[in-house]
Amino acid sequence: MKNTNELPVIIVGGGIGGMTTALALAKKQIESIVLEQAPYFRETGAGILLCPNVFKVFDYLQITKEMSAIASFPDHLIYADGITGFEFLKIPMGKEIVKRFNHPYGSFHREELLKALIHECQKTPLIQLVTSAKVVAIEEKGERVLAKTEEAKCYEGAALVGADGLWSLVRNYIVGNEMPNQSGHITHRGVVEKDRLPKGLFSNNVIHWDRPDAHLVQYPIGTKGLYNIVAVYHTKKPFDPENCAGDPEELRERFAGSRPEILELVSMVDTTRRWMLYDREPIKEWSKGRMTLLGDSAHPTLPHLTQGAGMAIEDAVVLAECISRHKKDYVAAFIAYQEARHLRTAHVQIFSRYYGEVHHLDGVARELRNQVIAKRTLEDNYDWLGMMYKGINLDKENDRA
Amino acid sequence: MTERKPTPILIVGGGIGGMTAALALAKKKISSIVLEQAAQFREAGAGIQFCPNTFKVLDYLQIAAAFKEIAIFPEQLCYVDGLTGNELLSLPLGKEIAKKFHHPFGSFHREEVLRCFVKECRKSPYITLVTSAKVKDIEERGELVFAKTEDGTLYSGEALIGCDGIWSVVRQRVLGNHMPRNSGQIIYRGVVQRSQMPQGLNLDNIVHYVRPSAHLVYYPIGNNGYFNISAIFQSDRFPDEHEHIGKPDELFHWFQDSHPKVLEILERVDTSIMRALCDLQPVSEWSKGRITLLGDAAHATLPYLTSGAGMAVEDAVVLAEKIATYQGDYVTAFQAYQKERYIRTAYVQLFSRAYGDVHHSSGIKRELRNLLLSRRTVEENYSWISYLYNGIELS
Repeated sequence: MKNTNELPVIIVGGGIGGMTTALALAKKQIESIVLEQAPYFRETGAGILLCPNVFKVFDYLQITKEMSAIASFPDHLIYADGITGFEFLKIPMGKEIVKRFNHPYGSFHREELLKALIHECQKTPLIQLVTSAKVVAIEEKGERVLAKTEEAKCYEGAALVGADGLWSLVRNYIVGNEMPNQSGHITHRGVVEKDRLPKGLFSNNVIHWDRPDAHLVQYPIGTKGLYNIVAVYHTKKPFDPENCAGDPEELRERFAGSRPEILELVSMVDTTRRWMLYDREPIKEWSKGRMTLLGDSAHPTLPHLTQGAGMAIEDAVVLAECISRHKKDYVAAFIAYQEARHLRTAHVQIFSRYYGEVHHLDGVARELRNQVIAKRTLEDNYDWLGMMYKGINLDKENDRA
Repeated sequence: MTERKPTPILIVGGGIGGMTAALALAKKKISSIVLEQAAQFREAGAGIQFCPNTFKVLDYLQIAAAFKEIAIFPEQLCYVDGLTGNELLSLPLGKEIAKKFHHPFGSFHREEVLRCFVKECRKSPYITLVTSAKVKDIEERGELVFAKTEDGTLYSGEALIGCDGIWSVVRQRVLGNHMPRNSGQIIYRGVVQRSQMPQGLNLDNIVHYVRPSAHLVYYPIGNNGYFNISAIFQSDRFPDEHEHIGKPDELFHWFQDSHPKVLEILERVDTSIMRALCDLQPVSEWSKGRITLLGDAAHATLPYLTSGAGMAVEDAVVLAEKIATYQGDYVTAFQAYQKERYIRTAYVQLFSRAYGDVHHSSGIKRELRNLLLSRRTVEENYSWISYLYNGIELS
């Protein structure tokens, strides 16, 4: 039998969070095994925006070059009223953001981002990637953790990290099996080649259109000429979680009266599939013994700050840092890790909910939003972004393996 | 032939808003009659704070000096966690705020404020003050508005301004059933002398103790050595607006486990009387023909930005300006007036609600609030209140 310290860390879930965790651990010379339930690694959703705080972590992991190669870098972040077209916020996001926060703001195709992370994982012998490994039970036994898969394989690790997303199985073991919170926000997505966009609708910007009960986000993704459209509305109908089919009628209804360019974009989203946006109440403890959570499994958020993946990526390096600092005393390391992370991740959860409501304001409150935000100076806006964009403190000393 | 005496404007309600409206109209040489239902002019509540934007208006009306005489100028605005006693934020008021926003931040006894307004109004030949005049009926007929009081007296004016507070009778005429919203927050108050305040408090400051579901504020009022204490909690019930009998057990229940200092101050509130805090949903229109609203009647707010009275006095000067500009075309003047005011007053209404929620946050939200507030610089805090404190443009 292997000594506990020679066992790898088991990472449940091969998404962006799981892969980054494996890379962060490898940087600390800690072995890991990533168990992915699907027969191949994949991400749902199309576009993903990563803020400077995420690139700061990439820098620390020395993978910025590889990540930048597949990113596009939007020029502006724009918020406009979806009825009147009034542009109430326009923040330069290109060179100015790099100057301000030392790192860029980039847009990716989720699949490509995951592929690039996998590629990095494959470079090191410290990481083992396993697909078709759906974990159905976990157990802490003495100084090790066991993970059993559907096909009755049993993996043994020194510790276990549940990076298994919103519907996390690992969370059931640590926190309990409470259902996530339905936001009432229904999302429809569309990915189109930018050349297929109607004339005049392409720009190298991230544009949010806010209107009562709905909003739409549009931006170019990655480097291959794809363009992302996300239409979100607050449903007024009872929601059946079993039914994933879109309701084109309600989508049309909620967006009725929008600017013509928005209506054109709405007509391009995939109406066959809808996504309810979920989150959870923030918690401060998501570890138990040698098991912990990471990313969405610990602190799922609504997407309105575009920091869901960012928080998972930051979690990963803080977790590895804590394990290393506590010399593989996983119990102490996991407590230190959640202590370091819970407020920042709660910030994203709480403010995302709040911004979701702000997007959908109506009446006088909507007018007030437009006017108050329009009055903000560029400095005000960078200060506001800075709360997240400045990122976490990372030790400067790069291990030279 | 005698010269026709210009018909005055009727002002319903002799509170801070009504008085300021009369003074602002007088500055434009427009006559008004202020109809107050009570037998004498009085204000409910004890303390009131005027932010720099309010003094800016008083300055414009050339009455700031009289108010500065009865004001006290607190040194700092402090927020303290009501469970741990840790200070979260402290904003310099005093000289710094006056320098930053060109006008001071002052605190008053409400009665004294109103007395000062009455005195200023009485100096003006354009203003008639009438007490024991409870308006029960309003009618617009041709180019006149009539107000009939309970004792059967009929007043007529070219226009009518409802300054009759959150439970405005005039609003019914203008907006119909636009009723106040009960916030479920309940307030208890206390007024005590300086010598009765607990030891070890900084009595030159306005101090807010914020804790889950409740908060407590104390501040000096006026220059006679009195202090106002307000204890507010978010109850799980929505008491009727007419319920005023205090329930000490309920009050102490919501403040249990507070920092000892908070409990010590809490002992000084009057537990016999309570009041439910109500506000209005923001609207963009509050005029109809020759009738309009002003202050709380139009846009009552929760008190957390201490800007309720400030919005009323700003309303008053904007309204007088529009009436003077449109020379008797009251319909147009009132449209222009509400258009200029509704966003700013909605700001106070909506952000007061939000700050109430922030004051009362618990769990991780409270931790996050404490962290974010303690990180803020003084400059950031000044910038955060500048939209309000810079005030409105006055010609």
